[in-house]
Parts: sequence; C-alpha cells; structure tokens
Amino acid sequence: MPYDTSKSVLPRGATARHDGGPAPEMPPPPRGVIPPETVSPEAMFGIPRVQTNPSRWSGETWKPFVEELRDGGVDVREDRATKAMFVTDAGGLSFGAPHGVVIARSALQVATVLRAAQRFRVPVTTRGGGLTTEGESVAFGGLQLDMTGMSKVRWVDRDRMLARVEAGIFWHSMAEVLRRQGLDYISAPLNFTSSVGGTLAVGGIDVNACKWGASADQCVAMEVVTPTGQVVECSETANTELFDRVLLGYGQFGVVTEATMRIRPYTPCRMHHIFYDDLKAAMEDLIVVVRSESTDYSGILTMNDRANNLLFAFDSEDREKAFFANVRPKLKGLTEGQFAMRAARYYALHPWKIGEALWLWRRKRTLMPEFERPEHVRGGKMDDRTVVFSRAVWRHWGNRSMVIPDLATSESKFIESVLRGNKVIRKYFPHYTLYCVAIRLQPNRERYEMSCIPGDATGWAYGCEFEPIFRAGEYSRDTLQSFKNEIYDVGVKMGTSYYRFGGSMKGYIRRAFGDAMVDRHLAMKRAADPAMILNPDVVF
Amino acid sequence: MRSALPRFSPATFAACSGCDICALACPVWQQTHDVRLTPKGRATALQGGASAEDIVESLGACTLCGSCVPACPERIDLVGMTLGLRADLAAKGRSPLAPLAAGMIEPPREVSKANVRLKTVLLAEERLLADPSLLAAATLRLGGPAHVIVADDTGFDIAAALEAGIPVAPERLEEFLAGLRGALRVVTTEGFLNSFLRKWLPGTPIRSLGESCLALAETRRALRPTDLYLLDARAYHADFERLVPVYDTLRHETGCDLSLDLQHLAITTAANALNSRFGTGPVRVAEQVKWILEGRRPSRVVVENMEDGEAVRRERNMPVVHVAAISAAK
Repeated sequence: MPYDTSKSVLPRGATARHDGGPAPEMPPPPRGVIPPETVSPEAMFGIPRVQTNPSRWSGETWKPFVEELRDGGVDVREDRATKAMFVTDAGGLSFGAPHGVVIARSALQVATVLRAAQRFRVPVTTRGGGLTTEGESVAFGGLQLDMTGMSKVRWVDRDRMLARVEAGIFWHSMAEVLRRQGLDYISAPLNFTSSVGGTLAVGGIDVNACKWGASADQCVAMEVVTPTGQVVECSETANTELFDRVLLGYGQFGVVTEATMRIRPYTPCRMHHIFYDDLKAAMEDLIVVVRSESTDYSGILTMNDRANNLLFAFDSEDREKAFFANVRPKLKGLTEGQFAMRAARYYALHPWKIGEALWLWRRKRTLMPEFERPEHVRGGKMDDRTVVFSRAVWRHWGNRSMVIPDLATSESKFIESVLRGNKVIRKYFPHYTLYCVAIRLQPNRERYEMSCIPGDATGWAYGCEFEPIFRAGEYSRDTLQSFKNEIYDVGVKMGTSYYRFGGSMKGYIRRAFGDAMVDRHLAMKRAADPAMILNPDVVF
Repeated sequence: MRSALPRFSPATFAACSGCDICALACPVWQQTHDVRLTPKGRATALQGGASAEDIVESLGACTLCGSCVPACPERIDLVGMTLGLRADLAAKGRSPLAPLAAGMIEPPREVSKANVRLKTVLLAEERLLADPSLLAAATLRLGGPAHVIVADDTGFDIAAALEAGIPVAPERLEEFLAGLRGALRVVTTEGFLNSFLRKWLPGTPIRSLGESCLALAETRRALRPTDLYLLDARAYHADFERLVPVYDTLRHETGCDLSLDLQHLAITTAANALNSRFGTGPVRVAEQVKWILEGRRPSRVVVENMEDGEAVRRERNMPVVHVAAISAAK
C-alpha cells in the first residue's frame, strides 16, 4: 500500500525508516537549530553520505535592510563582480552567494550593520582570509561582512610587549609592521593569509603551540561588536565572560574588530628534521619532545606512513645544545642518511613498490628546496618560518579545493586516533600528508569548552590534520565528503574533538560534544543573538 | 611579427585558488584594504562570471609593480592578465587609462641608425637623458662610451601604450626592435618593458641598469651598511627567481638594507605607474615612501630608478643617490 506523505509527518527526533516506500517528509528545522540525527550514530559508521550546503536565505527583508544601511552611510555592494569574490572558501566545496557585501571599516559601522540585521533578521556572515574549508565563511544569502577592510596595526607597545591590531589584518601584514621594529607575533597559523580575528575565533595553531599554546591564548583584550550591535571592550580582566565566549567561539558570540596581542622580540629559528619509517614511532617521539619542554617548535609532517618527518626548532643556541645533549639520544628518529639507507633497503626488497619510491624521491626533490631557499635560510637559521611554510603549503598542497579533516585529542588518545585516521586516508588517497602538533593548554579552560580543545586533555592537546594531495588525481565532492566523514567517525568512536567541526561538518557537533553541552551553548547563543543572524549555519 | 599586445585568456584566472597571497605585497591592497582592487579580486570576480567592464575600477587601480607574479603559488601571470583585460577594455573604448597614455605614445622623431652589434644598448629614461653627468657615469659603469649606445628610441611610447592597453602598430614595434637586434645586451632604466623584451628578443640578455651597475665590485664596495637600497620593483619582479640570490648576496656582502618585504618582494614607490603619474590611481606615492622608510633610519637612499629617487626626495629630507653615481658619491 502506498505511503501517504500528506498524512504522515514524523515527530521531531523520530527515526526515519526506509521500508521500500517513498521517504516520509520531514518539516525543515527552524533556523538556529541543530536537528537530531535521523538514524542512530552507530548506524552511520562506514556509510558514505554527503553533507549539503545550508538552505539559502530567501531575502524577504533584504531591501529595507539595505535601505536602512545606506541611509546610515554604510556602503553595501550588490554588483555581480563583488559578490563573485565570496562564493566559496579555501575548501572550495561549499558554494553560496551573499545578497550583498559590506567591507568592514570601523566598529561603529559593524555595529550599525548588526543592529539592522537583528531588526530585519538578515543573516550576516563574517569573513577574514576566507581560509575555512567547510563553508564557514561562505554566505548562503544575506550579508557578507568582509573584515579585511579593517587591517591596520593600531599601536605597538615595546615596553609591555603588546600590539593592538584591527581584526581583519592578515598575520603576515602584522608581522611586516612588527619586523621593522625587531619584533614578532608569538604564535600564528602557518598560513600567512589567516586573519587575526578569524584565528581568534577558532584557536590558531603554530608549530610553536607546544610552547605557547594556541594563537587565541596570546590575546589579552578585544574590541567586540556583539550580535545586537553593542561595541564592547573585553579582556582577561574586564567583561571576561564575553572574552571567553568570543575566543574559540567560532564567530557565534560577536564580531572581533580589534585585538591586543602579546608579541616578542624577533628571533630566527634553527630548524632540524629527523626521519622515521614508522608513523607510530614518530608520534611517540613527538610526545617525548613535547613533554621535555626542550624545544621551541615541534611537529610531524609526513609524506606517507613510511616517510615521516619530526621537525623541531629552537629560538636560542643554548636550548638547542641542551636538547641535543639530553633529549635527542632518547629519540628513535633517524638522520637523513640513515633513513635513506633504510628506505633503499626496503624498496629493494619490495620492488613492486617502485612507484611509491619514485614519488617520494620526486616529492623530496621538489619540496625540500622550498624549505631551504637561501634568502630565507642562512647559516642554518630560518627567517620568517610562516613565509617558508606558507609558500610550501600553497605551492605543494594548495588547490582550488582542499579538504583537511582533523582530530583533536588528549595525549592518551593521540597515537591510536592518528593511526586509525591514517588507515582511513590511505584507503582514499595514494598521496597525502599528516601534520601533527601539540598545543600547550592554558589554565583558563572556560574558552576551551565546545571548541577544538578536547575536554579530557590536560597539559597539552594534540592535533592531527589529514590532508590528501589532490594533484595526483581528481576526486568527486562525494568522495571527499565521505573521506571527511570517515575521519570524523574515528573521532566519535575515540571521543576526540575537531578543529573544523563547523559548516558542512556541523552534523558531528552533537555527537562530539553531547546534547547537554550543545544545548547550553545554544541557549547562550539565543540570548546573545536573538534573531540568530551572526554566522548562521557555522555551528547553530 | 609578434603582437605587442598581451593576449587575454580565461585560463590565466581559472587557476586562482583565492589564497590572497598576491594581496600581501600589493600596494593597492596596502593602501585601500579593498579586496576588489587586488589581483585575487579580479581573478575571482572573473571566475564568478564578471566581465572586464564589471571590474574596470580594479583594472585601472593596478600599478603593475609585478609583486603578485612571483608571489602567486599557482604561477599565474597576473600582470599579463591585467594588461590583457586592459587591452580588452581599450578595444571596446572603455579603457580607464587610455586617455592618460594618449599624450605619451608619440614615437621619437629622429632615430639614428647606430650599429648596435656586440654593444650594450641603454634604454635611458628621460630624467637620465637630461642629466649628462649621471648619464656619463651610467655609461662608464656599462663599459664606457666605446661599448655603449644610448638609444634614441627608448620604446617608452610602446610601454605607455601597453600599460594602458592601447594597440601598438606592428610597424612601430618592428622599428623599435630593429634598433636592438644584435646587441650584446639591452639595459633598461625602468623595468616595465623587461619581460616583453625577453619575449621579443630571445637570446639577448635584458638587464636593469641597477643590476648592471651592481655587477661591478667597485659599485658594491661603495654601498654602506647604513644605506637603504631601493630596487626598481618592476625590473626585479620581472626576473624574480634569477635576481633573488643576486640581491640577497648584495645584502650579505655589503650589509645594506634593501626595500624588500618579508617575502623578499620589492616594495614599490609606484611613482612610475601610469595612473600615479596622472594621480588617478588609489595608490599615493607618498604613502608608499613612508611605508618603505617606516622603522628604518638610513644615512642615504640608493635608487635604481630616478623617479623613485624623486619620490623619496619629495617626502624626506635625506641624501638620495643613483646607483650609477655611488662610487663618485663615496
């Protein structure tokens, strides 16, 4: 007997079952609600499934909203060329288009925008460098607020070692100004077009996060425009609740318009690499290095799971000498020569893997010179690690589309999670890179709740990014999404967190954090943003 | 006969991944913080279906300093893309710069037919031609009057036309190139034409006057650790991979500071851009000079390009000397 969909609407939360008849229709969830999973989490493991873009805002109040903004002196761009610049993000898999774009110029202008947006219930999607990968900075209708219009360094205070910057500034642009005074930021993503504001909203991980913690932990104060349009200065001592909500808050609780960041004297770093043909051994050694607190930078970069590189670096020669005297002898890592000999022996005994060997050799030949360019590396010291790494990343991993699923774990779950994730990525892609770092946790844990910092981590959290190298082939969007899901399924099973849990991966939020925590944050979001207009579809 | 006009090809913008790295060194970005006016803004607008007419403001804003080209991880010829789109606009009578260039594209009236075979040809800018003592110093650095021919036909009308997107008559281009064929090398005082000359005259070394002077140990010895050496951004970016080690060695050999950013891209004054000459672009030369000098306290500024030198003199009361003259100035 045919199933009459006109008479049957499943109650919210009910399980949809497919018994051969047409699928029953579910009413669309209201905006700002994470709908319940329609099948039990266990049933989803291993099932390829595709996340879809959020539904587009229909634009019913757009015209009066824009009229009000223009009356208030706000320049709203609706031309095709401007909107076209924002149709996707670095991920290149989520596509949307705003109804219009405002280039942010001041906190007051942003406040005007958000007050009007609340009144007219117009979604506002903020964007800095646009380096999200899950469509978090893509507007599916509504207004795109381009924060890079606010990109100035306000002041630099050498005595207190602080710098005040507008939040749309790229870390690299901040570094350009600081370096003229012999100064540097402390910690920033290894991608020089990340914006300061965008980074503060998610955390920000550098190879020195093992020593300094996340980039967000270097922030001592912020100017924030709340979703209802109030301009509030918050810090570690004033309006602390807002401060801790906005840091690692995924843009849900306010727009950062200025930030005061800790800075430090500039020093070039001396970088070293040791090599492993066993991923587990590399991770065990990373933990030894991190616990020893003897390096200023550390991380793992792999070419495949038979070619793993543990890098560590130092800001001073004293620390370098102490490390080589006390810690290096405890590590299992090989020198480049020893590694080459082992690899040669392995591939001689496994001649059917000659293709893999050739790929590794070619990769090393093209990639390593990027890390040794003489204008950036002299006398073994590397100037501006972000320039070196960022150039290499964009040249050798960059593409029109990028997927970088990750797992964020406690130390005890790190090795097992990465090994499981490695099995997944190896199944999908012949060539890929894992990038693992440790993040020193600060005592104040409030901001870490429902973020990339896993709740069970103490001392340090560990992160691993799983990055396929696309240039080796073309992959469908479905394949890429299935790959991401399978990595995140590992996280669900292992009880980890994720760095990129928003946007098209937000289906994992309840599974990762649990209903109680998500509902508590949802209540806070509703209180702060009654019309739920700021960065919709990123988390809520 | 090759066309002087760059070809506009959709393939030149299709590879843009939107990374924004081109914006970091872009003077237009530095001064406006408006992504629409950057190379990435143009490329992504075109990817989204915009036409050249839709981005006319952006196309008119570019100073063609060329810093975006070596910065681009996808190795897109972003200068070629901008020039091609300007030409596209000019063909439709919509060029924002064609009216500016109109007065600059008169070819030279009298051109001597000197034999350039196995000689160095110097394409000297007007300011250098008007300064006999500096011209003599430059000639001496290039090997002396017996080995150097100062060209009557500098090709600056062709450069202005290309910059604005105005078609160059094939006969005019051929006339210009005929005066350069067979030369041992061609030395330019302004780098805009360098990449074109490399295509038009394959096998002939194309060098900037700055690089040519620095090839002499005497010139390098005259540089002091307290100097700020201001590179001709267009010449440097047009031959970036070859020149990076040249200038890096210079910095370590002499201790002088260079007008480079952290990516080792040259910071332009933008003084020689067509839109700067006429004050129509968004980039203020004074702001560029201020940025180049921020946090730096040089005892003097050594320039490769005389327009850069004038720009510095206008903004700061400090010694400015051309690289061809630094031995004498020591």
